[in-house]
Amino acid sequence: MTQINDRQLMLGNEALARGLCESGCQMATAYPGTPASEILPAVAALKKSETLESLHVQWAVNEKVAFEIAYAASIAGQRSAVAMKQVGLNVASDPFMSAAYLGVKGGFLVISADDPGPHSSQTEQDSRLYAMSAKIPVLDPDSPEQARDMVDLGFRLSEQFEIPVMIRPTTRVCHARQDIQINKVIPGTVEANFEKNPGRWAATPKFRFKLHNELEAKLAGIASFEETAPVRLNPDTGKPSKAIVVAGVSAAHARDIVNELDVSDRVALYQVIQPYPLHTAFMDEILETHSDILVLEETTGIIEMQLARRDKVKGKQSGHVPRTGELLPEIMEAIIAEFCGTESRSSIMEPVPGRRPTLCAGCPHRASFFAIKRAAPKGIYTSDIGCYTLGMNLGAVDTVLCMGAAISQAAGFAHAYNDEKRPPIVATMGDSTFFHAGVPALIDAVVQKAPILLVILDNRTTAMTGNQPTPATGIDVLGEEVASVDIAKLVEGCGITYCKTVDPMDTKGFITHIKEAVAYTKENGPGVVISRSPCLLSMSKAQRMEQYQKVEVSDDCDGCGYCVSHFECPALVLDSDNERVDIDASLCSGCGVCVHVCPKGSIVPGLVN
Amino acid sequence: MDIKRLIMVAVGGQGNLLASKVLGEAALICKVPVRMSEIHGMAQRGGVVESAIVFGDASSPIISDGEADLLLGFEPSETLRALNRCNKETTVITNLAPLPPFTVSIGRGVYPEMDTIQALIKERTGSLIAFDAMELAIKAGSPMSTNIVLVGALIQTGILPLTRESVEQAIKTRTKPAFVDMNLAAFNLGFEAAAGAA
Repeated sequence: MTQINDRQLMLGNEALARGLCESGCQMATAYPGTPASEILPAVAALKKSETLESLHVQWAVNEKVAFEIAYAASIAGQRSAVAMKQVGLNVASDPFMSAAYLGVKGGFLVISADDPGPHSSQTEQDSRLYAMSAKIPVLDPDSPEQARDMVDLGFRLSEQFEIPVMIRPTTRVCHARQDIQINKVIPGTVEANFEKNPGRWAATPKFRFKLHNELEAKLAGIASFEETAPVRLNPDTGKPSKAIVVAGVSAAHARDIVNELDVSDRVALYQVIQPYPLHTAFMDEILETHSDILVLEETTGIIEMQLARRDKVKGKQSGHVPRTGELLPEIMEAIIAEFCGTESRSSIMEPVPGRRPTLCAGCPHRASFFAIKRAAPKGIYTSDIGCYTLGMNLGAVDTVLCMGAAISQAAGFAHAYNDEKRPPIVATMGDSTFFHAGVPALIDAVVQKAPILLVILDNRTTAMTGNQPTPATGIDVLGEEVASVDIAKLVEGCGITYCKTVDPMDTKGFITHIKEAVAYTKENGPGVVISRSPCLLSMSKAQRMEQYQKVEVSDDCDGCGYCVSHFECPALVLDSDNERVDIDASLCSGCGVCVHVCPKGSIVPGLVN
Repeated sequence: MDIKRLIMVAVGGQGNLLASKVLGEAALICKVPVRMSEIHGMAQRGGVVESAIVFGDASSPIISDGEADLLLGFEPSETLRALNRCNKETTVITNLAPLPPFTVSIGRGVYPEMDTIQALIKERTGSLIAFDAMELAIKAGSPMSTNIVLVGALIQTGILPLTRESVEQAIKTRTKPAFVDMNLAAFNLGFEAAAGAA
């Protein structure tokens, strides 16, 4: 973060972190996930730079655990927050639903970042729909600055009604940068004081019914909370028959589009700050004042759903607005132009196919996948969420459902096939994902004696989201030493008796181990191989140099292309005439694995310079 | 103040995000409101990294098709791919050093000829400044400074409301101390290259 006088250029996620520290937040927890990953490190950086001793900041093993830790601080009276990506909320949905009934004491924020597009996610789900389902108010920021401001607003709303409050930024807010006027950081000073009240904090069904009624009463109050009421963006226009209602980043786009199309004088523009619960007076007023209302929001029609007048409201349900994908400005411009009866200036062009992402040169996952395919060529390969999802390019990933599913899906396949027809079933899962959601599935596989092999791709980090520590790393978000959990012991603790830790960069040895393990699992039930080799991105230059092994392509290379199609290392480049492969020295990490990949032995260890 | 919209496209690892930060910092120094948008995640694994920077009084941080005043391409085929953001007035600056996409290196695609790329860009935009920024970066001290060479060329056009001094100041504070001299040299080489090309 850069500071010029009192203005700083800030990423949306940094702005949210800034908001937490400007509002006396005393606990922040998260599990990394794009686009929310940068929030917690930014809180940790402020804790250090501003010496916020009363602030506890931590990564948790998954979103459910992160939620429950931060929620406890709230019911002990402190302001606290939990951050996650939208699919993380699926994992935390159990405490989320329940916390709505029980409510809070200190302000409690659930920051759930959505990813319309999707740019880096499994689904385009709308967290606001979850808020509606849980009966929790949600705030929808249009920019980094508004996201920062919504933190303090959210805390006050939360405390006034004793209810969790969701802030729902999208990728275009999280990963936008904006110059922001900063405010003073305020350390939280509330001493934890949990006041026992089993009828509330340990409520049984009878009490839950009572709490549900109280929740409804709270929602009625929140639907008239003045500070979160919708804002008329062009009050001078008066009362035209047409109105456009926008929220989140769609509001930012709409402001520019309405100006550029020069239609501000013929349409009323409203920005909704709190999409759920929608303010009662607002609903009454706009349905009374306007006969033609267009709603633009991402990704589900939450506002539209509450403006329940099909004869007046245009949006996703009426088919005027796409129900999938991002509402990009060019899409919105065409919709707004048509609604206002003017010409659209935008021309939507067909997208050109993009580059496909691939594992980094020297990535140990590539070596693991190559060996797994060699050792169990006709296998079913279940996999999971992380960099290693890219193993699909190598034909070594057949399924990816959600975090932790590699093991349970492998078990499901194993039980579905009969003993004669069952192919080898190999699940791959990263270390961080194993901690997050793999453990219960592995316990189940042990109990059911599922004949599957789990390969834990242990690169000692959460690589995909930016190399955050895992519970095995022994370092926390502040860079300080914490306890470390041994993966092999955890695996054994789940009841696995066959568990070996092997280096995937030793290609021949690794293939042998996988073959042995597959044979074992066929007869004896589940086995685990821990494929341990650190992520190159978390190694120092000295560490990388130490393992560097120069490789060369000999004159025998006939350009068969086996290495580029089966190993897909970006450092191996087939020349344009398909005559030979060359090594791109600027990309090659010197891992030396490709020496074992070339079926003709044309990739050879180079002479040491 | 006029709103100016800049699109920058690069392949993961080319330093696009650092270039954005330098320009954002320079905007702060010049007291120009700025909004930027970038995509993280999968893009960093060899995919395309696109940044949009809007200078002036706008609300939206993203730039629609046909709306860019400037397109800065770190890689020629990516510049071509981003042409839909341009209009007949757009100024395009592109590096000419190619990084073939993976589909080309595994023989499933053909990299377009450099002349074809330049002709297509000229046909559909206002003007084109094209040069080998990588070569200049090597001259400045390292191919890693290609991003700053391109920033130099961008500033030379005078289209953005940023002064040369503000960008040099931003390079001093935003890039690693050990690389400041190299980056300033890279900036200067890019600036001169654009002046020569215009």
